[in-house]
Amino acid sequence: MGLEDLAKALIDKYVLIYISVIVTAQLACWGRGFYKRNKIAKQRHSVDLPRDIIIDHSVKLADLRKESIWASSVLVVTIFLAPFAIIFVIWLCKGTESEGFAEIAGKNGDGLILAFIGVFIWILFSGTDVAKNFLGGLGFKTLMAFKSPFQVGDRVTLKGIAGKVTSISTFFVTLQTLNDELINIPTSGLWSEVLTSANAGERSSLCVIDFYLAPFVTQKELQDSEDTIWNAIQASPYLDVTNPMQIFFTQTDKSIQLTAKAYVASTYNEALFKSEVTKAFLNCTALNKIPLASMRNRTR
Amino acid sequence: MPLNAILTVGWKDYSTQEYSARKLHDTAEDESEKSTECLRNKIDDLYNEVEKLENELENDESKKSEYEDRKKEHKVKTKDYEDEKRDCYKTSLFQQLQQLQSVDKPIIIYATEQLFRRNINGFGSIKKFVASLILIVTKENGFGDVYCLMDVFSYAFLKGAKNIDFQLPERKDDDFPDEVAGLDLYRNCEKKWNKKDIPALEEFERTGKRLPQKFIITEKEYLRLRSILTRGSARDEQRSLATLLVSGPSTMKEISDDLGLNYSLGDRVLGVFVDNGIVRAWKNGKYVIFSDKLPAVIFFLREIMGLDYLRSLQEDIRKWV
Repeated sequence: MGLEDLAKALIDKYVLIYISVIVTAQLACWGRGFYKRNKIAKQRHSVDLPRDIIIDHSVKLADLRKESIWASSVLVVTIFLAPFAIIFVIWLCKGTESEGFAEIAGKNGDGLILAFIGVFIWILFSGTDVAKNFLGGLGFKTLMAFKSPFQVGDRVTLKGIAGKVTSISTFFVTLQTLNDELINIPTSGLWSEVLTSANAGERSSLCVIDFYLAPFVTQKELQDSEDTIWNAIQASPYLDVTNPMQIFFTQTDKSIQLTAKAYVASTYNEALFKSEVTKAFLNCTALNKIPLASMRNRTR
Repeated sequence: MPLNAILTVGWKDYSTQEYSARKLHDTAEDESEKSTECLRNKIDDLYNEVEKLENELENDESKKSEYEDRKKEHKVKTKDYEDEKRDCYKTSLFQQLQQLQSVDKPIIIYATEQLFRRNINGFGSIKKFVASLILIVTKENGFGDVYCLMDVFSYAFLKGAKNIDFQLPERKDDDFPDEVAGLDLYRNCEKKWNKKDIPALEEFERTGKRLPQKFIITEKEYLRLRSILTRGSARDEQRSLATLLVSGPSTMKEISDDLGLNYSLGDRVLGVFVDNGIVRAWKNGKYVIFSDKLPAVIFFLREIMGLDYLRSLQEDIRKWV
């Protein structure tokens, strides 16, 4: 088949219908999702609820899962089944007695087969950046819905950037850092990345807080410090009591390090939780004149 | 095991109730103080001696050995005093429980959660009370079933923080006296909260689906409370509500002390919840959350602060891996 024949086969009304079906199906998926989201937004607005939703994001995971299955299924079905459906329709239109299905396919199917192979290769090797990003992002979103390496609301580290996931779209994952910067990371680029989530879809996350005492503290001072940290953690309204807490001691040549590990109920309150416990510890050491290690002498 | 906890919902003023945990504990503490008064005075005298010697030591090194001896004696006597006080406490508690006991009905101790406050120094009373009860309430001592009524949220917190369920397990069956059955028990509310009230609030928040008629909270009240608690600067409001839920009825001073707020701030914060019909004030100056508003409070604290105390009742506490 020469190039001229190839072009002639591809410039065919049925190929056009095939491509149109794929594109229309994807637009319909997007439209369906948009309509649903819009409907919910309008309903919430009618009862004077603000735009942000305070519900835990894992509740939305079921919806995300359905949407991802739907979008991926539609793409697969339209690419693989649409050619056969089109030929079947042609066969029906031309009358089933005049020619068999195979003959119809043979006469009119060249272009469709070529278009199908072309689309398939294009998906496999992702000919353009836009296609690559679109397909990579769609694939990652589908994986996300089932494997949940992280989800909206999680505190994650992606490509070395730490922040809270504010949105996951087909093209970008948006992170909000502690300094309130919004970072957009291409979704398709996350396939081969190591993804670290501080809370992995849960509300709570582990906090590690270090305290440093001078190496010559007495036994009573050590015990008082430990008791204060323990009680301060338990007294904090931010603590998640369903997870265990521990205090570990480490001795260095320059200090005695106490490491407290406890879970904060809401990962977004980690800084407040640490601040409360640290404040209680510093109050205790000031009140009881317990010596702290100097900043210069702390080693980890 | 004769000692059990029964989880209640909502709070009543049991401060003058004969069978309240606070009354039993305070009486036992007073008795133990009175019984050990002589020993306490001796220890105070010893302490004064030690201080005096410490001052004299600066000018006269020869007093060092006397100072060390007195200091050692003070330490030993203090330990003896604490042991004796503990024994007197247990004895007094034992005698009180014996007086409460009758042939035909078990002992019911009300409002056990009132012995606990969620602050750095707030666990001592309840730990002492429950530890003493375990030693006293035995079949050998002639005791039958003893029920400690405890608020569900305090219990859930103490289960996670202090493993109180090991010492005071929750009574799961229905075999308890009529006067207990008539109270607001958590087991009676659990299904309604988890299957009806909280899901309705979730649907309202998520999709705007209208709340049912005659619901625990109107939409207007919900939106008002939401606007207060979701504001980023409303940290003290969130913490105060969480404190009221776990520590139970609290005066303004108690909340201010627990959270390190200044008094006027505590006044303002509680005033907001009173104005919005979430909290009411008792005549004795304590503030308490309305029982029927509890599902809404649970929902907001869960979604905003991640505090899910009811889940800790349903699951075993996670272990370290």
